Amino acid sequence: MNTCTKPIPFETLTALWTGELSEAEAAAVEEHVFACDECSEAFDRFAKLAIGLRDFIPIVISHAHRARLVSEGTRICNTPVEAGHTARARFCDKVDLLVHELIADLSGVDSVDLELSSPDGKTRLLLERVPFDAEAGELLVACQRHYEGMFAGDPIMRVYAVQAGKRRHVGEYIVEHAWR
Amino acid sequence: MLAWISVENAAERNVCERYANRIRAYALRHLRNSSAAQDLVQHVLLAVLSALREGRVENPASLDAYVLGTCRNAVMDMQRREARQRRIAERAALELPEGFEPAWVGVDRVRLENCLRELGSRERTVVLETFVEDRDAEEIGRALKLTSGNVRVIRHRALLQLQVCMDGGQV
Repeated sequence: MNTCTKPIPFETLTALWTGELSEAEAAAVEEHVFACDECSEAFDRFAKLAIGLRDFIPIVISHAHRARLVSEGTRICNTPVEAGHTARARFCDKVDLLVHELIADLSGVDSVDLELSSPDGKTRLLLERVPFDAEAGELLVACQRHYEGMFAGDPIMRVYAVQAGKRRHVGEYIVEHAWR
Repeated sequence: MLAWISVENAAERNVCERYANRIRAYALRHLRNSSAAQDLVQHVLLAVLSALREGRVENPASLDAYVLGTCRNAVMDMQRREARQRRIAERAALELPEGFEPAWVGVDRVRLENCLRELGSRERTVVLETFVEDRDAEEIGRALKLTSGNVRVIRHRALLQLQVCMDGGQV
């Protein structure tokens, strides 16, 4: 493998992938990558990371992301969940992803946080600034098969809204999962 | 002119091994789709091998540029005619040198999930908004009340941390 005398900086790879280089700059980077073993390895590693992130399904997804997953063939079972009520969802063989639609009045809020905790409170996960749709009044929790066992029991999902610098509790949501 | 046919398997295998990952990374950036990228690897390798067999690559030193040019044309072609991808893949699968599989292992998703959890909340949001939601620095900056310059700095540091974490190193 040749050693590169002018390795491509990580910032340049990021800019290339996020479309922030001009056409001429991007072409120059790609030409270098094709001729350089060291930079082609770095480019390949970054490509894996970038495409892994692109295909990553976070715990909370946007409505646009759900639409994209559906268009790509992901089989989704949507379950509306009201605050203070327990809903049920089943991960049968024909489902790739469960989406819990947490219904909440989110009009006018700046950002939304979601806290997941096990019923005994020993395991907690706080997700800040998650995607939400104020117009639809929904927060979409994407539940994946490998989440089984992440919490001891079905987690309690607590939604918090941040508005004008103040954080308020919106509601608690529970979904009873059948994993097969 | 290269005598590729007389050393067909070894020479062609070398070409495949040298360029498969480069072509795939290029395709991932332009097509943003793993299976389409895989199809492109096969298509480009096949086109390059055909050109070598037919003596259309006169100078071995220009092979890098030839492969990149073939990639550019193929990506434009694929973007124009997505439905053609499947046929290209099927043909390439039949005609590539026996035994060569341009295999590619994507990221370990569970590891990626764990590495993302190690990021700060704002860093994670910036990364996910960039790659999952396909938002640019200006849009993210408006949502997070940051300048686009700040978003770029946060994104760069977060990606570097993720890359190190994914490579198994210390952050």
